[in-house]
Amino acid sequence: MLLKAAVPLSSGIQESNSIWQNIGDMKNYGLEFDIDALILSRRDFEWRVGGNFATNRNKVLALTPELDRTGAGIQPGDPVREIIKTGLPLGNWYMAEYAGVDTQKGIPLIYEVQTLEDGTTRHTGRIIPGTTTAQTANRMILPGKTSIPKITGGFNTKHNYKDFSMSMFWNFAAGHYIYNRLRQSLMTPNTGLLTLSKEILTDTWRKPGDNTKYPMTVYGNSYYFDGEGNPSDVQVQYGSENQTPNSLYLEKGDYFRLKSLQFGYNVPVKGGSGKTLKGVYVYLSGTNLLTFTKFSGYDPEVTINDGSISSVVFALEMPQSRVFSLGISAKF
Amino acid sequence: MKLYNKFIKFCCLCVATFSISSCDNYFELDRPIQFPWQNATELELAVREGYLHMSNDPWFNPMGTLTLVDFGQSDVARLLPEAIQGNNYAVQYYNRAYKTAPSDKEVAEAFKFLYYIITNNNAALQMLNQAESEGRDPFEGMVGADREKVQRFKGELYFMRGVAYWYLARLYAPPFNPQGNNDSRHFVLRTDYVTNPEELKNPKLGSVAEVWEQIQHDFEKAKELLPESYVSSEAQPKGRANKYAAAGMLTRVYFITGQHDKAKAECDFILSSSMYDLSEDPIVAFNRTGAESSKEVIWEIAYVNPSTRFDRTPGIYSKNLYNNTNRGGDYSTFTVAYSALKKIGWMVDGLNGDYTEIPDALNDKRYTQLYKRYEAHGQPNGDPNATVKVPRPEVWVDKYFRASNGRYSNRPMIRLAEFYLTRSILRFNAGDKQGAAADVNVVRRRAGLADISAEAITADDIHNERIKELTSEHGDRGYYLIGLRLPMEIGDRDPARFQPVQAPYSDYFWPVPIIEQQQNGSYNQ
Repeated sequence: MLLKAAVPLSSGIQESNSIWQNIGDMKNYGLEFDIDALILSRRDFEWRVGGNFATNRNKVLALTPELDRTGAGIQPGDPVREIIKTGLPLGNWYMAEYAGVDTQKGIPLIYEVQTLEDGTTRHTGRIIPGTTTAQTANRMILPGKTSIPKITGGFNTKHNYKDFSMSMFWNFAAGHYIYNRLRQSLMTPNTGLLTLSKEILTDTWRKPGDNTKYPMTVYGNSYYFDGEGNPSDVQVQYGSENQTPNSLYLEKGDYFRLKSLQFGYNVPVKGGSGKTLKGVYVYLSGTNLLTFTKFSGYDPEVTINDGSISSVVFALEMPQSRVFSLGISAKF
Repeated sequence: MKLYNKFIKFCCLCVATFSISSCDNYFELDRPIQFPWQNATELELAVREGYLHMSNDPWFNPMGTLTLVDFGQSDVARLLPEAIQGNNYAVQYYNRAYKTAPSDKEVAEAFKFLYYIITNNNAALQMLNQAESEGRDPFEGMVGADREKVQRFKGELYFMRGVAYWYLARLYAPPFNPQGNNDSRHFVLRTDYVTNPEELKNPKLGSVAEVWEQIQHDFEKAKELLPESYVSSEAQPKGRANKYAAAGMLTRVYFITGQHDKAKAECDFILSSSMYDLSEDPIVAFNRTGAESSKEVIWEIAYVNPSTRFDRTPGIYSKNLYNNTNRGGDYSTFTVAYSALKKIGWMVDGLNGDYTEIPDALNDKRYTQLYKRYEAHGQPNGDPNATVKVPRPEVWVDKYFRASNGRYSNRPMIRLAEFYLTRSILRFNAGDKQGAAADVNVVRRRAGLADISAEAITADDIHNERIKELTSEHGDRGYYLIGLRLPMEIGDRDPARFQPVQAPYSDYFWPVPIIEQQQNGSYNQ
């Protein structure tokens, strides 16, 4: 595999401190179905459907002997969000695991994580304040969570009635997770994006006793509680939007989308082969019309970055547009 | 038939090709490392790369990081309780938290930029030194002018590598202890260009002694190779090092490692030059841009207008500045400590509530040109910042963003006044009060102040003069106290929670970033 392996900062390699290396073995396996059927065929009416469905399981079988001996794995991204390790799928999400908000203090909490000798991680059972140090030192290999969908597919249906036609294409993917860094920025008041999510007003901790999804909104993620949760008279930082990802912002990317819908009409043209104009087809079509998804970002159909093998959504990428077009096709 | 002939010809060609190549290890042949520079002009790109990374990143560049960290940790800064802390590590610097807190923000990010300089310069130096050891030119077709240029480039490469290791040694390792072993190891010391990934993962960590020896060696080589001045092909020639810049850094190295005789010799060398003097007002070092010249500045980071880079480059300086047109505002975290202002005679006793401005201060051009006093918010000449609304008079460092287009203000890295002050204290400590007074008075006269007589001069006079002249510049306060083995007092901090930091300052450094410790195998041995 061609993988971007991180090298220490002291190597002085510019642009993400990593080097492409040809290492390791990987396995992909699954099932794929494809079906195409003419359901109905009458004189004036025809109905055709088709579809495909595929499952995919991916597993890294080996990296380098040295990495496999230590169980360390490769962290291809900067900041660290993913890990590539033998026995796991490619680009397994690897970050602090959010454990909710302390209802008395309003600070974010994470699960304390123990990294074993063979490189696997597990909860110790404690829940601790999610300071920057804690988040960096307690990264969890989130089981089964990667950016690669486990099932993908689509189906299309086409109807023709006399000179009218309609076709639809739906596609879907499921089983993958997307890191919504955009939402993390929108929930953090000082990142320079100058836009904030309204969830800051509706779903953040305000006073002791509040049980909310998000912690108290503070400038610069700084709270007056230390790493043990005790009051502190200096601010302590609890992660930063661009340096410390945590699973609060890791979302399922499952979606089901009406990718395209087209209505068309063959305008009747008189005359035989002698005429110049042989046919006219008028159509109205739309792309990306409907999407059913729980993903809170603009669009769950995102690419997987080939360096970090992950899907991270941020402010810099334009989502796909919904497009309507009206067209005439003439044959001469 | 034609096609058949073509086919036969093709087969013959293939057979011929494969028969003369050794198919066995066709894909295993090693390609020798080739450096990307083909001639002297291209080599200059490598030289500029080294300078670039000192200041390239807007928030976390090394130039600004050492300034911010050292100023914040010093006894001459005070932390504004009202300032918004958010995006920087200012509170941890002020609280001298290096023993307990991990490196974060500036002090974590600057680390990698310093190694960009080191790796780049190691590559170029390796190519040049290899050629020299083999008795040949590094490039084909070189003429005399090229060879002269390449020697200067080599000097500049040594210079910037020395600067990079100087910054690493100042930030991430305890100071050199002239009485100690200096054998603790903190960060990678590398002087060759590594050609495979394995070597990058278990590199050698240099001991404090080895690192300082390397820094000294690099600046000595730089001083030897660099000319005093030269005609540069740069459109904006400011910002490149010369012999005096190397001598300036050497002075600092000798001073901080306790080699005071050598430090004085370097000061003599610099101060005897006719290229520099203190004939211009203090502001001139700070309010220029691009190629505008200053008689005082020996080396600076120069900015051009229009900048080819996103011009947030000096952003880090907004963390300890006040500026007329670009008030740092919410992010401006540090002002000059009241205890320091009392010592130097600019404010009566701010710590105990007496904020009266001492009239003599207004005679000092540095006070009027390079510092700015604001009264309490709401008063005439009060703090204009509507978010922070500082309710007390404060004196701000106002050395940055002073050019007409603030963001393109050149940053002096080495300026002449420093060497008068360094030589002054060295002469004083050697018993030469006459010489000490002469030197300190050059600086005082430039600031518009009266002389101090040789009979009356004390060490404190010289210390105070340095505070007035060099506060917040490039880690000068920490460097000066360490060089003289003086304690770093607590300044305005709470005496119940803080103690002065005494020599040998063995804990006075930040740990290397966590990610380096995790990925670098040498830290786990």
